[in-house]
Amino acid sequence: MDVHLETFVPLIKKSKGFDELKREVIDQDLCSGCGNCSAFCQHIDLDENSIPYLVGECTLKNGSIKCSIEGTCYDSCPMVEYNFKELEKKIFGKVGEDWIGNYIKIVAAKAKDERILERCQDGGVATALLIAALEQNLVNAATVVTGWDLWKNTVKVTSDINEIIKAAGTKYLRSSTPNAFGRNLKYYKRIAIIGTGCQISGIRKFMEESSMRILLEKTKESDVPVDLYLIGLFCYENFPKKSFEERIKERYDITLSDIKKMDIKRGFVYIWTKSGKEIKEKVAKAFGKIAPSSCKLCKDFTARLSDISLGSVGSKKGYTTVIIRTKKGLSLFEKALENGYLEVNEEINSEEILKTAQSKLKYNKKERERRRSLGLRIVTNWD
Amino acid sequence: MTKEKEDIRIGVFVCSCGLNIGGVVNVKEVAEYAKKLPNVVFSCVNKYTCSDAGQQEIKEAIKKYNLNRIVVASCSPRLHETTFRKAIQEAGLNPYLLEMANIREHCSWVHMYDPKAATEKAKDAVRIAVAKARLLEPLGFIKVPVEKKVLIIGGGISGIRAALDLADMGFKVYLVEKLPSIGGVMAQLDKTFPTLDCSICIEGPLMSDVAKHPNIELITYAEVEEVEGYVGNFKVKIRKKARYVDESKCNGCGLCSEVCPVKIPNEWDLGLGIRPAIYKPFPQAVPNVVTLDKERCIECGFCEIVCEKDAIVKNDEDKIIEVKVGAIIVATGYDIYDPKKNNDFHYNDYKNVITALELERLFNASGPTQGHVVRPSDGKEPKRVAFILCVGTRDRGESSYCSGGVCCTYSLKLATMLKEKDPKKDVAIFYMDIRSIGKGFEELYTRARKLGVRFIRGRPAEIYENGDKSLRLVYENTLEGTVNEEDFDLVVLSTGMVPKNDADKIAKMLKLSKTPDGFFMEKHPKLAPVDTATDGIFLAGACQGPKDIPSSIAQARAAAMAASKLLMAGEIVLGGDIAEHIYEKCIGCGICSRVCPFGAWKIVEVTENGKKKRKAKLTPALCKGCGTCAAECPVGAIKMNHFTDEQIYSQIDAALQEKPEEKILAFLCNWCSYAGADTAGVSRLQYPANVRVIRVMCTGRVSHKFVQYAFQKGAGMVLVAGCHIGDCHYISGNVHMKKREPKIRRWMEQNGIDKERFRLEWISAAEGVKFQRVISEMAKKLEELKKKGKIAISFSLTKK
Repeated sequence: MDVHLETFVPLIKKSKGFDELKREVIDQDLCSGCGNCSAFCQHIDLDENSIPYLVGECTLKNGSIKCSIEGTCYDSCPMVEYNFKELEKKIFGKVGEDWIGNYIKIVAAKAKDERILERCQDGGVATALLIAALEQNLVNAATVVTGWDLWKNTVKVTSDINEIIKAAGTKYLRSSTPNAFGRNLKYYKRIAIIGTGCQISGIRKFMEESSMRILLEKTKESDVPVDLYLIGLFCYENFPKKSFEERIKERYDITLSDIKKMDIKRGFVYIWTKSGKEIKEKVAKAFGKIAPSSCKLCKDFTARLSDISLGSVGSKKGYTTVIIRTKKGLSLFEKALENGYLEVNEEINSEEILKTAQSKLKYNKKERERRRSLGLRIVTNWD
Repeated sequence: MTKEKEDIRIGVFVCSCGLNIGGVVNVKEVAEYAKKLPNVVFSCVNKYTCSDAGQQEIKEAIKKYNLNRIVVASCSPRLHETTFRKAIQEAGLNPYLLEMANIREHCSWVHMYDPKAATEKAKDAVRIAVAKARLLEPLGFIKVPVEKKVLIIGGGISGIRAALDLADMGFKVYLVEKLPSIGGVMAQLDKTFPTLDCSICIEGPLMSDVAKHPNIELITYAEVEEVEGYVGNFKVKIRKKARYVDESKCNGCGLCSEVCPVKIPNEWDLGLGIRPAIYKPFPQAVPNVVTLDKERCIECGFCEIVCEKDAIVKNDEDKIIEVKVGAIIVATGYDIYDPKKNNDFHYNDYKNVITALELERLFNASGPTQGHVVRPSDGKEPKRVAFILCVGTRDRGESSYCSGGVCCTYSLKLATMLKEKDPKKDVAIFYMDIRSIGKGFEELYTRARKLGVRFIRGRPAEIYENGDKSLRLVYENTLEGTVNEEDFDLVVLSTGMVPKNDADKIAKMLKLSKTPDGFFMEKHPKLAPVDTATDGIFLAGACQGPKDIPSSIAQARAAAMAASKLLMAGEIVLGGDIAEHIYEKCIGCGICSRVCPFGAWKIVEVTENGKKKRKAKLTPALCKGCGTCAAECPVGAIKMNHFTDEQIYSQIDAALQEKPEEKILAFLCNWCSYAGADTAGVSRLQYPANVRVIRVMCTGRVSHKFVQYAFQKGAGMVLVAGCHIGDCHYISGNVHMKKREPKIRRWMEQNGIDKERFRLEWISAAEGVKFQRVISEMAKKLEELKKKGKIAISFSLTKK
């Protein structure tokens, strides 16, 4: 007898929901504040540190037995027990090297548009790629982080080029980009998303192993298929807004709105204020105290599951290092290049990338020991 | 007291009825006697007054003697009142100017061996009738136009059938269904007995006919919230729940359901299958649109992304739809008894104890297991299946009724299906009685037996769960007289049909009454099984009582016919024998509005001379003329036409004119006890002749003042008799009479009247024997009291 019992309730395993997410991640001080969990659920909101909390009742507490596979929130969380290397193998056909992952090619590039170069952190490639994607009609909108202050409203999904240009430059605070992307997907359907390793891996996991996979398949044949470009950013660590705010107030007597630009390079933090003040200090000394456990445990410096990853490490000043991982990423890059959004410099210092990644691993080892001694869960998703 | 002083000219027609009356009663003497009564200007004897010749005599006498009130002394008014009303109407008189004296059923047939007493009683009956006739008033008729539209509540097979029939006849039908789809329980079934044909295959086409019919407005996911008005003119408020999907845009493609990440146990599969938060309850749902379960929705937006019709309405709201209809068919169906409530056979504890409807869903190809019957504990195929019948029915506790053989027969069906699929399966049915009576049902029983289904007479006493989750039944085989234990893989509870959970709400809204089992009560169990006590409201299907599909269809078509008959007429003529408001006397106390079972009275606020006042307001078309309000009104502000206080007092006076202490004065309700006395007559049940009858429409009309007045006039005995509680033709008139009894008894005690002199009895139309017994007992008691020297004496009259 050929019996399919997938829809036979007495034998269905109930999804894990927000309760489990809270127990396994949030209460374990493992939440990276990536904002994936709240992207597709009205019952989750993020506090000012981008930590999720429940609004109303989780649907699994309200009669539902399944929500995605293990909960829409749970499925998109990069910090629950999960093997990302398997997912990487599924996407790329093989597991990449720990420090850099899989890639088609690595180049150094910079934007051509003067308006971008004025504002950008390094080579302005992120901004240039978003504009290229929009203008070349690959996407309908892009996610941007527009400023330091007004934290919650700073993440936007927009199709406005001026807004994208205004948003150029790295923000070292947690931003709930996936949340904004999720809540706007129905309006735009094709979106270029910029995010850190945890954000990109969460979205990728959700795209591949949740109900979103069905959504992507079902819309393939429609007039406007859902299409996402995942643009990863190199990320060493990232700070919760509130603790960062308190820290700069305490240490430098400045507020978020005073900051004009901030940079973290080669172990040092640089802050330029609007009033012309310049601060330079060792990162560990400046912000070691407020660096989240999730960042210390993270092994994904270069956002290994992106279509294309960007960062300053590995290329000379004024240039952005570009790791092109997928065919999709390559086509975006080539379109941008062909149409004059970018220029390329072949000079890449891969040693520098390796070193930074390795130093992050050291960080990881220490944090693991600390957590072990406290009896807290350790994330082994990239082991 | 007539409004204008007119010259009252009464004609009395005494019927000999062949020898039926004339053989006992000296009809000539009665006619002669009648001549001496005040205002009587003519009297005669007819051989058969009801015959054409007899009627002709009346008509001619009316012309010749200028008669304006007619008394016919003949048989029961229940038999020929309409005949004579029509006759005098043809002679130009208002039909309400007729009064009848029942000298056959209440006289000649029950006092066959005492012609003298019978003749005296007949004279008294004529005197009583003449007394009332003097005060009769012409009454008008109300003509009410009829809205040629019908509301059908409930979209199960009964509602569907009735809707199609009426729509085909050309009437506009509003079919309101509570759930997202029509179909009802029938759509949940896999096969239908006795022929075992696919349920949805035969119901599905009807469902889509409903959706396509130009005369049917299908309103699903909606509930009737308020019904106002009366026959022919109901105003209905329907709440259409927010569906969050635009029904006009959705094409039912189901893409949204495929991408929805949330899965909920599907109510349609009794929680055995799953459905998304945006769903169609089952593939053949009508209307073919989805519904968004907002409570479970996480607003991921996936449905909006895939919907190419933009049919999802995130900010949808409940809508109120108002319609006007002439008739309402209630087809709200039933619920399956839920064994959760009493944990029958450890249904809540043991996974492999399921209900028959759950088994039905497992059998269904679009059910949770694609038609495979499996055990809930492990998904394996059960080898040994037991059915336990009569779960939740035929219980001495709350549900003592039988579901009309529906559970027996569906169990036979399911057992047969199990056996036919796999003859090696051991299938046993534990029964008390197999009550499978219907066309083709015996054949199904035989088919099951031939297939080897075991029938075990006995109700399992205990059920235990074994380590492998199989179940051990301990039972007594009452045919063999043995106590046995046996293991089964799956135990199926054949649960009965119970009233719908919102039956109370519907009953209250539509002013329907319910039988003791909780189902809606029909107007008459035999003669009016689809009508209700409220005109214009009809019943169809299992809301009226457990029944199978063929019976539901039959009743639905009957209800459709009854409704169409009403609508075809175009207008309704309502009689004038109803309540009338005496506005100036009204103090707005609201008692009338509380006692009226039909909502004919309402209390409204009026402004008089700049002052706000509460006053009663009557909707005449809703009044059915029971007269309870008139009896309860503390200030006499209600006149019950054709049964006015004055008329009844004059009847009491007439009845007790001579030797009141020897008389039993009986107030009998028209529908039960008067008819019961008629039955005694038809059955020739003899009883003492000293009873004098005053007919009222309902005991609710019998004010305590009438009883007091009778005793003041010196009545030896007073009887008030009506329908049994629960059977009242006016729902609750007898209940109000019952409430007056203590008051009457207190008064009697205060005035030194023997308590045995008053009786309140419930005598049904069938209980001629009871009527005979009650009268005989009362006469005997009166005799005893007389012997004891206790004689009722008339005392100071304080009429009104």
